[in-house]
Amino acid sequence: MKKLVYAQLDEVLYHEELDNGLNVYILPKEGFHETFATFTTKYGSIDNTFIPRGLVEPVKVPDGIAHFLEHKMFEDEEKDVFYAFGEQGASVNAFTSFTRTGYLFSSMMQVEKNIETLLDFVQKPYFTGQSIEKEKGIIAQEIMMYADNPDWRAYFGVIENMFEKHPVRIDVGGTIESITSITKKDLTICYETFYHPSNMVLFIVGNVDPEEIMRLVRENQSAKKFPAKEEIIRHVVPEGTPAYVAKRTISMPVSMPKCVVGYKEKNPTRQGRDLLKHQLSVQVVLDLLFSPSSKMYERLYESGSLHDPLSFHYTAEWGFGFSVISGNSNNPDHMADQITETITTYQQVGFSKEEIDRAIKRRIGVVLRSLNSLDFIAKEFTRYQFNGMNFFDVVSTLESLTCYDLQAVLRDHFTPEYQTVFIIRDERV
Amino acid sequence: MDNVKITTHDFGDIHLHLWKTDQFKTTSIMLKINSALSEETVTARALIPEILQSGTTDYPNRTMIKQKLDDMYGAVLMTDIQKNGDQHVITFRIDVASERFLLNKVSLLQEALLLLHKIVTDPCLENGVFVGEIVEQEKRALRQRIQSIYDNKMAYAAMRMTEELFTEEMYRLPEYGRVEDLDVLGPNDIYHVYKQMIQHDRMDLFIVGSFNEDSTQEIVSSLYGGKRFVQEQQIVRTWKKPVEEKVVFDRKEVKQGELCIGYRTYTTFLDDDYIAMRVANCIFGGSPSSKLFMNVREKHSLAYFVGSKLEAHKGVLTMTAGIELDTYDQTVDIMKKQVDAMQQGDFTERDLEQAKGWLINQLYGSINTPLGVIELAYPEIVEKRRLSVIDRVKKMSSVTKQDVIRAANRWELDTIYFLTGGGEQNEEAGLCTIR
Repeated sequence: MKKLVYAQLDEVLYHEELDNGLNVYILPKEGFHETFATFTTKYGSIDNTFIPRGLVEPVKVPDGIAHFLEHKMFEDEEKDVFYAFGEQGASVNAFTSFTRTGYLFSSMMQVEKNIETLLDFVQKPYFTGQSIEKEKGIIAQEIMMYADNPDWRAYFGVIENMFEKHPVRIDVGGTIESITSITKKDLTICYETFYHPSNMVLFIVGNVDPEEIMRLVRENQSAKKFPAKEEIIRHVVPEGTPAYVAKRTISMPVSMPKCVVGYKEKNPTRQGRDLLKHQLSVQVVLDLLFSPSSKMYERLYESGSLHDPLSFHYTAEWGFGFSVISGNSNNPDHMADQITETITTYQQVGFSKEEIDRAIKRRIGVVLRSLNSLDFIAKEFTRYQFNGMNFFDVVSTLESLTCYDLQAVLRDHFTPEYQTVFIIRDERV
Repeated sequence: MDNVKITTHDFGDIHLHLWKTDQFKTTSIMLKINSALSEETVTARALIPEILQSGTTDYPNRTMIKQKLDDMYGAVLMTDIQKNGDQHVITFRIDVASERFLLNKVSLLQEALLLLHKIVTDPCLENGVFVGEIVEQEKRALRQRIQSIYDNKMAYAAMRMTEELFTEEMYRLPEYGRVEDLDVLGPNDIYHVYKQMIQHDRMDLFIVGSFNEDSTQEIVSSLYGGKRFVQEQQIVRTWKKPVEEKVVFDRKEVKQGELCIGYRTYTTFLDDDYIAMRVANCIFGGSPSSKLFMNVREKHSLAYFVGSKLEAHKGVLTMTAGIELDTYDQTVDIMKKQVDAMQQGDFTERDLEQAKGWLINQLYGSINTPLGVIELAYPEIVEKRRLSVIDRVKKMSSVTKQDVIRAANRWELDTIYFLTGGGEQNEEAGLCTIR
């Protein structure tokens, strides 16, 4: 077991790669009552074309299957998984994103037993035809819930605009039609390919003894048999071409029109330190341009064009990346123009040293605050790991950013051919 | 396990509550200002925190305040407005990074206390009242915020349910105010409500994090030590007994129906039975192994989200589910059957222990953040009925099956609300390809 010390943040992290390939990380935190554990596979909605374990030809599986599989993992032959965790004082949950499927619990007692339950239920699939059919009804309601949510529609609308072929453009949940076609065989293929321990990370944070927990995990894993480690061949092509569609508008009932502007990443294959630095630079530039203390926000707020802060963030994984800036405005076209104009102006004049220092300080504050939440650490840590980055390098990387780094991002990331605009308005009014 | 140690000091008419701990990477300051909910003040009070954040004498606009906060290592100022039963609570919160993690050592806590005091007590004025332009801007923003609740169908249904269920109680008023009041409120009216607030409302200041206790007390006493004329609020414990069940349908353009059912429990957090009531709610609809989850979702595939929750101050239990528009009758029927099952004691000792474990876990989870600690302590501090975490756990552990059955038998159906389709239909524009 390796021990990694992050002195500035007062954190110590333990790591070990087990014989079956599973990576285990433990972050002891004194004073906290709850322990969080996440058990995550590097498998999400974008992994829809791949060579199944043991075969040679690639297959394409139905949209939404990673999320469907997440739901179905809670099925167990003997016991109700929710109930079992509940009895052990834990609450369990799961999520599916573009690139990951994670299972997590939080508990203040019987932490060791809960870790075993987590490992055991995720490593023991149980699918029956009847329970698969039943799940289709439940997920159909989940899809309907999102369909009535304009923010969700706006988010996927702008992603669809940006990407022509990359499966990031497909809703994580799939469609009612696509999930209807899912079979037991499809689920088994996906499970066998992506839930091998060597494609997964177990992360535990809380008031725990790292030695003891590691021993428990080692024992649990060595008692199970897994096929040999194999590289997974994914047939997803990185997409760094200009935006697929420049502008699109849809109509649905909204209290005020929504405007989303996206900038697609040109170089979507960064990993490790390179990606960490790039991601933080884009985030700081977005803060400089659009945060509530920016000049643009002040102008739009005071003129009554905007009533609430803009939301913005940058997302990047291997193969795709984008910035999204969104807000509600009675004049969404004007808002999109203002966003473009702000960027163009800053591209000409640059940022001042004072503005940059303030923005970096602000980001450091945001990061430190987020480290208060074990829940947040538990969910984020694995995303960094899967992209070769270290979550605890964030503060020192932010402190190392220079004017030059930020000006370069401002110039290269925000260019017209890579921009797209997506608008939702209620056309009855 | 109980390391939450809040000490209270009274200065003039402010109650200061301190919890010194190294557990967090930030220090949180929270000021809570409390008064009775009323039709006359609800909308003005919803505007006040927004107006105060828009300028002080020293920092006369939002951007200057924001820049000051950014300079303090991204300190964050947040305001919130909530209902604690029939009381209307305004919250100001500033979080600052703990100095021990920064390269340059600066006294962020002191700066934050000074800034907060300025924001609350030294607003930017014009002719002795709030600045007209700021007031107009904040009225516009609030109007939009109220209207945008409709974009979140669950929140919209919950708001409508509250209006329908509490028609004769002040709790019917939404904490964020009403659009119709915005047309008539001017800088004068709002400033008058603000003055009343500063003079008469109860104020509680919480500080959670690592700090020097003596110097912190000194600063607070010098800032807030003056005498005010505080009117303490009494919790209102009168409720209307439902004569017959009320059913309300709202027809809108939606794909999914939102069903809310409200039962009176006649039990608030001040009652001894409240803990048994929480256990009853947990078995009934408060967790993924609950009756509602197992029957409405797992057995009949009627919903993705389904559950129930208690309103701690008002003695009401509400259940919600997102369902197909045409499964209303079936879902209501199944939900009512689960109520019967609870009242007849149709659950096992194992279910009981499981629910207690879940709630205890949730309790410990909630005190893992500064905000959680404060939100848990505040209503009890106001009502002078503080329970330690250990006492809560003890009480929870001793709840019996009989206690739960007794609690469930107090439930009385009051209102059923359904947000359903059949409103104006609108074909989506041809370009829309999502789903």
